Amino acid sequence: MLRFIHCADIHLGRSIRTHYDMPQQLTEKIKRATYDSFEELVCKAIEKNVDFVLISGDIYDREQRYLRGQWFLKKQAERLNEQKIPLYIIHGNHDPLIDSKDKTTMPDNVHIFKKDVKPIYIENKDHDRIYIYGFSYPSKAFFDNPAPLYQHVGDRDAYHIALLHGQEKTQFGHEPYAPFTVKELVEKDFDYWALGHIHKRQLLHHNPPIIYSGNIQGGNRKETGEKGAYYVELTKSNASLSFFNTASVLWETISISIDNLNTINQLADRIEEEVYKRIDNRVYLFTIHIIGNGVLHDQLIEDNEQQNLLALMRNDIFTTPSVWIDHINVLTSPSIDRERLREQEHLLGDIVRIVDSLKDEKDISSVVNPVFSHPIMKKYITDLEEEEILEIIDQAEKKLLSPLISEVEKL
Amino acid sequence: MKLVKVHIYGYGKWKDVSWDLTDKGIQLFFGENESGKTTFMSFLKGILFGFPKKGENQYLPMEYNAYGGTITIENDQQERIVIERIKGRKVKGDVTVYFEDGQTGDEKTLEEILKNMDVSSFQGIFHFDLEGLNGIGNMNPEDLNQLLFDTGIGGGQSVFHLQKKLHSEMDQLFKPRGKKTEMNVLVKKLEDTEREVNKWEERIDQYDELTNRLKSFKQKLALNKQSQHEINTKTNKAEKHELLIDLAKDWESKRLLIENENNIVSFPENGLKRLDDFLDKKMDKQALLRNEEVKLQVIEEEISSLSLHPQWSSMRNEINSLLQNEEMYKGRQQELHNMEIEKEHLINKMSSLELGWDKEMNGESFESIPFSPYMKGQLQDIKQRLNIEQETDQRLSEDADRLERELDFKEEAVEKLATTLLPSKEIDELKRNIKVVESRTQIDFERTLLKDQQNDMINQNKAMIKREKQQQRFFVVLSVVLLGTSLLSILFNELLVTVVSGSLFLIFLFLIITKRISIRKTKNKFLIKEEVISQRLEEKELALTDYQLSDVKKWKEELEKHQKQLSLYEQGIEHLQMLREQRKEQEKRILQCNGKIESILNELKEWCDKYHIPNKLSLEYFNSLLQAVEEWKKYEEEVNRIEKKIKQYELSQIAFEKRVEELINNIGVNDELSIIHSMDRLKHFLIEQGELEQEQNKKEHQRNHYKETVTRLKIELEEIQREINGMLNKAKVSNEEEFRHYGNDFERQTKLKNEKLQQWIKMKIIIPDENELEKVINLLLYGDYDPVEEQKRLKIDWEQLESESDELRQNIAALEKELSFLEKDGTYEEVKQIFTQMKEELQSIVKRWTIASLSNHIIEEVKKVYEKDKQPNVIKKAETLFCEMTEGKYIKVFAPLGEQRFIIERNDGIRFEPAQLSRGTCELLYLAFRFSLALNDPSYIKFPIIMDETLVNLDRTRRKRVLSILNEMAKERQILFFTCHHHIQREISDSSITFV
Repeated sequence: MLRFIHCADIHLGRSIRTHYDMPQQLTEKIKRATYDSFEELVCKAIEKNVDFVLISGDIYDREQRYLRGQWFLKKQAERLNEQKIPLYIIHGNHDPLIDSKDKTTMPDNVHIFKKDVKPIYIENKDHDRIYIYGFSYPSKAFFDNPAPLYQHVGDRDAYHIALLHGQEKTQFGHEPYAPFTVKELVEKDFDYWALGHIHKRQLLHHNPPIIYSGNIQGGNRKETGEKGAYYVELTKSNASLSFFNTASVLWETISISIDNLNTINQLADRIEEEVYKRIDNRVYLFTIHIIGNGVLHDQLIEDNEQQNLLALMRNDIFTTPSVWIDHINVLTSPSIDRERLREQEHLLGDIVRIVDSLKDEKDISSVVNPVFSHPIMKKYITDLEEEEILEIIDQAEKKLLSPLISEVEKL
Repeated sequence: MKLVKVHIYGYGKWKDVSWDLTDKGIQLFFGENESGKTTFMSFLKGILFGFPKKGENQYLPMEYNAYGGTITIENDQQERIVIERIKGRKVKGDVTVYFEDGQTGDEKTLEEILKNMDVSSFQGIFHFDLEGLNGIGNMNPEDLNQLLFDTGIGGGQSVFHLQKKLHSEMDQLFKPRGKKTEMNVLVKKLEDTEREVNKWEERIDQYDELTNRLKSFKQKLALNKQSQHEINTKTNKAEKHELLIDLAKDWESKRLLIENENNIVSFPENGLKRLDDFLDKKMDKQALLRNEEVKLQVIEEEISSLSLHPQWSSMRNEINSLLQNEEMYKGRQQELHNMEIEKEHLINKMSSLELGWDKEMNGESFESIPFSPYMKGQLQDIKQRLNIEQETDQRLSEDADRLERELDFKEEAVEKLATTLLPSKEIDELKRNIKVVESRTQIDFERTLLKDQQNDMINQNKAMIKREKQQQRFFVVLSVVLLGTSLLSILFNELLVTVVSGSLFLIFLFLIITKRISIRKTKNKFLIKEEVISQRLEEKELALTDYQLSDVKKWKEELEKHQKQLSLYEQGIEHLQMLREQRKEQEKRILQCNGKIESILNELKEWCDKYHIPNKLSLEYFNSLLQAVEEWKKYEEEVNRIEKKIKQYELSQIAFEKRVEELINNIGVNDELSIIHSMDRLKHFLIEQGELEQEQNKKEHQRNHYKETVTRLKIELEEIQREINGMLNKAKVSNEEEFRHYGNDFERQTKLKNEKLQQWIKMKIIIPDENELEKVINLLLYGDYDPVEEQKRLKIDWEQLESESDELRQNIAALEKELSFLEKDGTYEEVKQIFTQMKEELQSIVKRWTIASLSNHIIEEVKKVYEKDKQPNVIKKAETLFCEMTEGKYIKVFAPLGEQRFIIERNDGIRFEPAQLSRGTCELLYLAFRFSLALNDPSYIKFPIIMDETLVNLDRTRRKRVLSILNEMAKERQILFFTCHHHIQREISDSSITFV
């Protein structure tokens, strides 16, 4: 039986996309989060005394200076080396094999695959025979289908384990590097496919296991929940997979309805209650979606009210350094019938119709131009995604309709 | 909406006064200046939108408490609503709205009634005064749009405020050239942080260069170390050289001294002392030698006085062995005696055995019988076989007797059976009778069968005849009918029918006849068959005889009994035959057996002859004889064995005695002595000679010892002399004196050489390599080389290198620190993290700004809609009104797309801007727009239009046209017209209220 750990997308040194003005203690924690998570993973490997550890690409972000990352990886590899646990690594799109060689020399237990798929043969303590396959990206962009590169060496009684960094064709939200299909991998007749690139953990296939272990530390508010790696016990007939969390900083999203709430204080209480239900001894970064419709809507739609609420949350309610309200997203709606308004010949109808056409066009470039083409601003801001644009249009509509609505009702 | 009644409790000059307003045409208010028109208009506005604020003219009554009043309005549904506003805590006063159904309302209700129209919209749309006319030149589509827009939405003010708020929100977040807005502040921080990030990145990017530099420094340091090492080696050498100088000088002087002296090459080591020692030893040894030689002489004499038997040594062993065998000799003597007795006893037994059989033996002795187990076995075999044959013979004789008896009995029984059998004639008679009776039973059965057959046939015959007769009858009837028909047809001359029926009749007639013949034939056939059967029946009857069945049974029993007796008889005959054959066989066997016995007896005879045994015919005899012979042979064998043994013993005894005799003679005893005495003498001799031998051995041992000592001392003396001679030879001298002189010289020279060698070793310790040492000594004594100077020079070089290395080490430490810092330090990532967070923050603010901006944009878009969709209606209406007012002189009014101005086109095609028009025309244009606007009121409130002296600047013609338009409008809308001019009062002929 083989026992190993599969992880991917470590992104050592990647900054976590949260908001500014955090307490110093929290910034410290967040700055270390990815490193802490990887260190935890190594502890687990030592505790389980696994046969080996697999890293399916993107250990560092090459775009960021990764010197410390390399130094850190070396230290962790040395820890594993003391326990005679080898580490098999492929490089992905964020850390391709570039010409200049890595600045740090790794200990002997670290095996980094080159740009060709060349299987490594090993035997574990039980004298199981194992072939490990994999390849590293030679450059950032790799658009070829990787499946044909993996050629089974025969020796069917041995274990065949493949590392691959790329995108399964039905996935989206990541660059479409090394695209492949599950069917292609299944046909290869390997015993385990350790995938990387997609940050969301998922099991694409059971037998043989084809798995994205996901990243080990959520980097932004979309990467919610526990993050970590898989501890795998593999035999020729069966695979036992158990996920374990290593992240010490977790992103969470909670939705709070304003239905039946009358004051901002009540809302704040609700948020506090919900947040305390979710947390434990780890650090939590929360995105709060405020939903529903109620009397608080008109108030919350005001930008300064939102900012006040956020300040209240951050400065007065959650003073513990383990909770940070990253973002409050007001998604409440006024009690209006848009369909009815659209049919009517008055200002509100006009607004609804204009909003609809904006939503169709999805283009607000002329509106955002002053900021987005500002010579300094444009350096630091990211273009809005379609989803964000739609959200902004919705928010703008509410911002207009809500104050006008009471008058409309009286018409 | 219409105003139907105005009641002022107190407002300016007005005290408790009320007016009912007309609901048809223009409601004119006429009054001189100061008559209260403006106060009235202010009252209307005050009731609807709130009393004037402080600082404005509040129209507070001077000597009157009541402030405010009521306005009664009628809405589109013809419901009357009373709006009362009186003095309250707030400046704008307290409002109560009274509905017809008794309900009341407050300010909010009023706002609802007014559809949120605010005072400025009211002023803009429904209130016309001269001031407005004055500002007409500045009127542009934007203002118009704003007015339209503001009034188009219930709360125009809200949109206005909203937009204003949005602008302020946006401005708070971002200004393109701002410094204090949130985004601008954050961006400033971002720029700073980015600079820090860049600085860090530059620093980290130097990592490679720093690594290379570190490498080169380390190499340089290693080189320096090497150089220093070399200098150290050199210094070391120079130090050694320094140490060498004095030693070398001393050594050289000794070397020269030795070189110049006559060298004694060879002299024994420690020669003089050794010579003295040797001479002392020599004297001692000589004295000892003399002493020992005297002792030797004495002992030689003592030994020669002792004498031993000459053959002592061989004799001693022999005597000893004889003494040892003496007991054995005595034992054998006794045993010989015993054996003689035994032998005699056995011989006696044998002769008594033989004597017992003497008579039977016919002169043959036991000795002549060659007894062997084989022979005994042969006799046993013969005996056994004879026994078997004799037994067989006896058994056969018995069997023959039994057979004879059985045969006699059987013959008698068969004869008896033969007499009971029936004669053959009688049997034949019986058999025939039985056969006859059994055949009659068979005939009975056949007869019954024939009778049944006969009855069947008769029945069949009857049925067939009956059937035939029925057919015959049918044919007869049919032929009669046909005959009738033919006869009738003849009567009626129907020839064809006649012929047909006639011929059919003939055919049937023929058929009847044929049928009858066939019946007869069938009858005859049956009769013949029946006759045959009857005949056979008769035959059967005749065959029966008179015999009865009971007789048959008796006959059969008799016959059966005879048959049984016959078979028994036949069996008896058969058995008899068999017995006779057996008897014959038995006789043959007995004869064979007797032959065999004869041959065995012959064999026995042959056996007796062969073994010299008298042939007596009793088997028991043979047995006993053989037993006796066997015993005898055994005794004989035993006697032989004893005799052999006696012979052997006697030989041994003789040999022993002879040896004893020889030894006795040898020791010199010549008397005849018995063996026992001889043995005693020998024992005595042995003891005597043994003691003598011991004494001799002791003396010889002493003598040998003295001899050895003498020899050894002589050798030692020779050795000492040899040593002395050797030393003299080595020193190449012939006598002691010369030796002693040479010795002294040699000792002095040796001392000098040793000292030189000591120096050399000391120098070698410093420089072990001799070649090098020689070179260095040469250099030091005779060359131009000063090791002290050399050391000083080397020290300077070394110190220079050391200071260089120090610097390098410092640099290396600094570089290593920096590199390690770069590897381990998290500041870069911290800065980067903060940078990311700032960016995220900025992105959020951008979104907030975008929301505000987009909201603003939407409002702008809505305005455009108004501009595009609503404004054209207003402009179109205004164009129509303006054309009408100017009697078609101006035909077109429009706002060019994207431009914020109006263009007016005259009927001759020339275009003007409003400012280019005459004041009066411009006022008309203003009125046209205002009327159009009021008519297009998007709120559909149909609020009364209030006109305050607006027509004063118009000439009569134009005024008339405007008034006619007003009159037209008044059909749909209440118009309140205020003037102080009589001519206008006259021109507006409708109901008027006159203020005084």
